[in-house]
Amino acid sequence: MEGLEKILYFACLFLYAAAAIAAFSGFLAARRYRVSYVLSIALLGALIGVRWYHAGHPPIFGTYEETLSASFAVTLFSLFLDREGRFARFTASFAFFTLLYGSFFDSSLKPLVISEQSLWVEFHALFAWIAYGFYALVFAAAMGVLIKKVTPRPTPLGVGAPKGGGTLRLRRTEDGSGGIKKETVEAPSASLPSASLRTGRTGRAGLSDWLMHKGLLYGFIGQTVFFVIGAYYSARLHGRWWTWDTVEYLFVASWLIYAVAMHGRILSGWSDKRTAAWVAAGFAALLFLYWGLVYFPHSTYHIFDIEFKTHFP
Amino acid sequence: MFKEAFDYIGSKRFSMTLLKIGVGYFLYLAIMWITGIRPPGGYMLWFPLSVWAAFFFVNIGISLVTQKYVHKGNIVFHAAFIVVAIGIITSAMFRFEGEVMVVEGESFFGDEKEYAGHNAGKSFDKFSPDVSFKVFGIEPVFWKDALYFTGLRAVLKYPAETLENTGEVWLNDGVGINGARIRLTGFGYFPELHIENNGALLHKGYVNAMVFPPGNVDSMEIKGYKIFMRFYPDAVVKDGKISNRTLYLKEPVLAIRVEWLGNAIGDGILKKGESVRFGGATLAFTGARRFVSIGIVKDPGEQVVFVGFVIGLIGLALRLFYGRKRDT
Repeated sequence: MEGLEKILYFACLFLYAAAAIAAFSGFLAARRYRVSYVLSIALLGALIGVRWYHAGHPPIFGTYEETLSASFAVTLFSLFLDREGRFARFTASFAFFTLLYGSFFDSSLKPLVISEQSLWVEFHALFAWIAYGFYALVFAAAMGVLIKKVTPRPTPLGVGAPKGGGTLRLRRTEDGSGGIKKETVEAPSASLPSASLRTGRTGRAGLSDWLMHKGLLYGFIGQTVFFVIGAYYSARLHGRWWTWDTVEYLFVASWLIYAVAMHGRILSGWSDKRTAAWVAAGFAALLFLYWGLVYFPHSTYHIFDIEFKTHFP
Repeated sequence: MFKEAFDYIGSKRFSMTLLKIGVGYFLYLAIMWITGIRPPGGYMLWFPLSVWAAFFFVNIGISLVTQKYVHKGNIVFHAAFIVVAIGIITSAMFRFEGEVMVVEGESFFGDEKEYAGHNAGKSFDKFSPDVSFKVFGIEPVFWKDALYFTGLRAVLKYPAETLENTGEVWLNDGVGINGARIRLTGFGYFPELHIENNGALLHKGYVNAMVFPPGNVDSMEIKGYKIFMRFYPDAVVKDGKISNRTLYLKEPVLAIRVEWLGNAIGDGILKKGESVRFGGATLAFTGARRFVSIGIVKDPGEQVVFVGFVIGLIGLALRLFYGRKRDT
């Protein structure tokens, strides 16, 4: 890391640190949040571009490059789903510490080993970061639910909700007949996601609920796509789409954990807290998976950070 | 009783139980692999997985039949698991996987004896693909002369009888021949030796020895002699010590140690063209040859699995883009 890349890297670190401090001190209002995140995305995008130009490949290989992608994904999807910046404390801190963590690893430019020289790997990594970006956000929402002690949701999300959003209320008719009529209450604020209103909740709790639902769906789709691409490439590289590898076990474990969370919400009408606990467990499994790559390279084909990579033990 | 069991196995509650059991099982595998522990018997790996998978697929099958999935996307996504299961079962029954080691310039004709290993057992003739080829132009590329491959390719001409087609194989891709996928799985050098004992020729040609990367020790036995070898493709010998400069085949050196009935009777460091005498025998190092390991896979179930994956993705896309009527 040198020259422009270094300048951009430290600029991003500074920006994320400032955003995190501002978020914790209550100084990061929605508008400032959006401005700072757009700026972060621009700077980090430039950093990724510079790195890509010098390396000759997208910066998705090795821990340093992975942390650039991770911070970028989390910031981008935060802006996409959490437009009010209600989870900026988490996302800004996450992006900052992730970037900082990457600086402890080798950032020198190396050519790719053969197994990394494929568009399939690049798309595999792209969807991985889409999935992990959303899951990081879902984790933030889950922590919001767990820490803020949100009251359990009485019914499964969306069941019986009026089409187009709003809250369904039952009221006695005014004609004195004792009948009951359905009434849809419109969203009080256009800035809140309609899905949160379907649950009848607003504010942080409603947003957490909405984020968990949307983020889980997007993350799950991203995770499934990246698995399918990885399986296809594995068939070309190893001759089989499933290689009995630690990373694959942890992948399936985390995928099933998120499936439990989704099915729990949908099938069993789980409370937000219970869902959030599983979401947190899923994120822990993902972190375990990622650090497994870095710290236990002997147990996997997915090798990131060793000096001499080889296919021949 | 049967109906109750059927209802329970197809129930939402059982779906959740299965998902949780799956989480536990795969976490258990991950921890085992990370800690380097392996189950004492292979059945401890696949048997619980098979039982879990059987219930998983039956649960999904019942849910599909009893129309528990209302949303089209959910139906398509879960139906994909059945297709994947069919693919996995097909693979388990018909998959052929073998590996051969072929020296540059030589041919492989698909005979069972030419395989270094395969999974077909006694059903070799039934499952083995009709594959033959000749290997040309093996080109490894190392970064900074370290054991860090940035390139490895070989040219194949096939079939070996006519050589009318040409294809390239890499570590991460290859050619398809008669439904089999051919790709590289390894690379190395075989030393070439000329061994005589009191004027009688004992061996002439390359030795199938795993002496790459440099430092690896392998041995061969011939007429009671056990010959241990280390190979250096681009070596400098100074004061009886060998250092290797690059991994390319430039100045090959073979270090040998010979035992007779367990006793060391000779050793030597041989440059290309040099020889050493031990007992009544003479061993000459005449050169080295590049070889590649080639994986040959024919798996009719694999494509079915990928069709299942694609169907699953279509289901998720339907779920994403066409909203939901009711979540089940």
